[in-house]
Amino acid sequence: MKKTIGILCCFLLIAGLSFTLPGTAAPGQEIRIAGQFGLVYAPLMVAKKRGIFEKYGLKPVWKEYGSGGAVREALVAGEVDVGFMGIPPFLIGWDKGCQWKVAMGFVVIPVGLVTYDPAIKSLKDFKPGDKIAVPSPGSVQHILLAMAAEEELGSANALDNNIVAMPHPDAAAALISKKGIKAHFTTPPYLFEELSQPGFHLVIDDLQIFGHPFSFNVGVANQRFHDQKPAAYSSFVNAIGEAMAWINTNKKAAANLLAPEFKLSPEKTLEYLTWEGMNYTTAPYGLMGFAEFMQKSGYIKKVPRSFEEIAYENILAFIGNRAGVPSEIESLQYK
Amino acid sequence: MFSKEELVIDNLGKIYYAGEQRINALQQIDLKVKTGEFINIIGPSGCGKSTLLRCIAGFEKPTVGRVKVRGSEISGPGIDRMMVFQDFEQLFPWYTVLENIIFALRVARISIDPKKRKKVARYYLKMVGLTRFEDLYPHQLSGGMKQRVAIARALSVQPRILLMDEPFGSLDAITRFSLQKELIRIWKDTGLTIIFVTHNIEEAIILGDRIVILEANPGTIIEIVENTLSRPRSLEAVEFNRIWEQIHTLLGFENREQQESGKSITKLFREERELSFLPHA
Amino acid sequence: MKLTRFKKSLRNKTLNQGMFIIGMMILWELLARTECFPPLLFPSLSSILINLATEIASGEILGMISFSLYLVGVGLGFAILTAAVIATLAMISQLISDWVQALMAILHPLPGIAVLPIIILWLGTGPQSIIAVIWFSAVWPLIANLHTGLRSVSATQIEVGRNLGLKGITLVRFVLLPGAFPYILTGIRIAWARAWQASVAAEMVFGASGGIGGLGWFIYKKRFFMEIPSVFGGMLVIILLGLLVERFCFEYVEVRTVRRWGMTSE
Ligand SMILES: Nc1ncnc2c1ncn2[C@@H]1O[C@H](COP(=O)(O)OP(=O)(O)O)[C@@H](O)[C@H]1O
Ligand SMILES: [Mg+2]
Repeated sequence: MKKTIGILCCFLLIAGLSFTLPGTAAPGQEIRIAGQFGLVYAPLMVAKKRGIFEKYGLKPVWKEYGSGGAVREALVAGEVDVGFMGIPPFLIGWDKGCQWKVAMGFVVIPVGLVTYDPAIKSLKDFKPGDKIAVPSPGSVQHILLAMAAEEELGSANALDNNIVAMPHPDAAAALISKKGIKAHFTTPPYLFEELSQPGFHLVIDDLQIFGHPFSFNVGVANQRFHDQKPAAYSSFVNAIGEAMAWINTNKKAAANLLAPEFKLSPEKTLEYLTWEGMNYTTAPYGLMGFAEFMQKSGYIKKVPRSFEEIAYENILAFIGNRAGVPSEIESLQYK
Repeated sequence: MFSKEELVIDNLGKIYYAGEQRINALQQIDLKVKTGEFINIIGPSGCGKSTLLRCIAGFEKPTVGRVKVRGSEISGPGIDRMMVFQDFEQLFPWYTVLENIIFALRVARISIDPKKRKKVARYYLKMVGLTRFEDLYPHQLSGGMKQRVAIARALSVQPRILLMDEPFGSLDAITRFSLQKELIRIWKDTGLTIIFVTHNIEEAIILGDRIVILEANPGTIIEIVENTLSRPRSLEAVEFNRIWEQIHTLLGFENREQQESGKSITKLFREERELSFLPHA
Repeated sequence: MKLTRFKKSLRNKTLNQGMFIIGMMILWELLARTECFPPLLFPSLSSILINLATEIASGEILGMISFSLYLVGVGLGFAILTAAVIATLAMISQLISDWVQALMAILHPLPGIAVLPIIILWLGTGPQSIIAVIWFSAVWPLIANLHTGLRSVSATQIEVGRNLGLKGITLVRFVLLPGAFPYILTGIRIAWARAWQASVAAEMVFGASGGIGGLGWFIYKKRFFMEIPSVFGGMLVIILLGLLVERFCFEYVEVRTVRRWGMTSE
């Protein structure tokens, strides 16, 4: 008899707990985030692991997608409020009428075109059958390649028939086994891995093409989310900022935290995090440089008349609007 | 009347192996067939009738013994010995009636000129009374018509021997009777040697000059019955009934009751005969 | 007479189906116009068609269609050759027949696209890999149908052929192949559908292609440039081509062969 009462009490307790659970949770602002995985997304992963979103009163809802294309489509469909993507994919969507703007810069990382063929020293050395892998058409890598092609070969489309779209891991495997593709336009950690192979070398990199660093990824928020939940919006920006600041000041701890996620050793992770050129920053770079080139080459139809068309107020305030000659950070938005 | 020996079967034996089992399908078959003779083969199911015919046609190799056609031993199938099967599906469904015959003429290289081939094919179709149906496909024909086409096709390549394995076995009695009549006519017109397998005693008596009676396990000839009845043969003839009784007994039906039922079959057959005066295709 | 009646029923069927499809199209247009769904993701039919028209006029899509058809043609051609050789070997030897059946049981259910990663490792990216995927997708249904088809040819018809003096190749040519034709046609039909799907899927999933690329690559590219009406346009072209080949090639052949010969089960 005693026993049954005990069990009954247990049940009641559990029932009561689970009933009160929603009430006891922090009354956070829900934000739906397109979660992605990889070195590029380190701030996101840190914010998640260290509970930074919760600290800012946010209740993140994570949604995983298989590719950058899917993230963008999820944003368009309103399945998520914020996501991360390259400037070119963002601009393509903006050009097509997507109601979204840049909420933050996200990461500046080295991007490079790697080949194993010693005969290929510049873009001119690619023969018609030589395949160059990029993650997808319209990706940062694709547009960079087009920029370089225009510069070196006279036409943005000169290498269009050499392009194959392959996800990074597949392309890296193909390049390392020297099967099918001649070159891979890629980012860390694949860039590091490929370059560590004997004989593999850079044909061209982002700095040579763009002239100065640019945001490889930017954070993009839907207009509706930004307008209807301004507090959640700014909390999100600040939370990511805190995560980035923590990485930048605690690289070793960050490496230890992220190593198991990447299935790498902490040493390797640290090596990647501290690679020359890596920079987690909410400052945007190169917004207009991409837009102008893409418009000129026909990838998009219009160019933003002002930053206001493509960026939210925090970015506008960040870039500023110097009277007279544009400020340095303003100039860095152009190529 | 029959001068030369068209076909000599000499000590023919055929053994099949079905897994562990050894089937003595034919054993010590000796038979001489004269040119122009109409031979019937009758026997219970599984006694080796088809096997015998297939050995003559060259589809099966005898285990022992020989099949000789006009003095020389056969080595395989040939158009000098054409087979007509019981199976309605023996026509090529992708050819029309006429094309089926033209095809036979073509592969048998009977006539080279396509126009002449067509003429020849029509000639044989006329022989079996199917001129009006030459453009139909086999699936549009009745069973009887299919068998007529098969006969016409076999005749068209001008064989010396026509081998018929229960060709009318799946037909209704009326169709069967008219085809029997036509076969006799064709046989007389062409002077062919015909070896005709049946399991129907009346059919054997109506058609053959000699009736070879087989028994099963092993398949051997137990008797060859001469049939000298004058044609057209009448079921009413006393001699007809005598031969019927003889075959019936040889096939092992000695029981009086069975004999009775056998006779009633004869009676039924007589009625069918009357019915067969109805017009047919 | 039977044929004309069949033609009539065909026309009726076409009419019914045509009406249904037109209905669907109208529904689509209306639904798109209400803008219940983001127009970027669910464009109106009219915008899709206008887009398609300009893409056809520019020649872009025609090049892609011919490239896709070329890949499918080569892949299917090789598959038919392979199937013919394998089915012939299986006819000759029971041992090989057993092997082929085992292989078929294992590999037939595997979608061609699933072997693409391996094929890319072996053959690299580019048309040869897509042809290989098409070949793989098409070859099993072809072998299966050819194998059963040849075995289902009436033994009596084969004997009639032998009686007339056919043997070896001539027997195959004049009796076995026509006798197996209903199965062969079914096999090619399934193989075509699978090959067509594989060609599109291969280019779409891996974007693996050479030169101008085919329809799969077209859709893939348009997706990344968010030209959604073009994505739908590409799909429309794929559907239409599939339908056209089915209706005007296979049905045409079927009516003139298998149905005329009464070699169908219906
Ligand atoms: N291909 C074969 N393999 C094994 N046994 C066979 C084969 N063909 C016939 N037989 C056997 O040989 C015997 C005679 O068959 P068959 O000539 O067809 O008889 P019938 O035509 O008189 O009915 C039967 O026992 C049959 O089972
Ligand atoms: Mg038999």
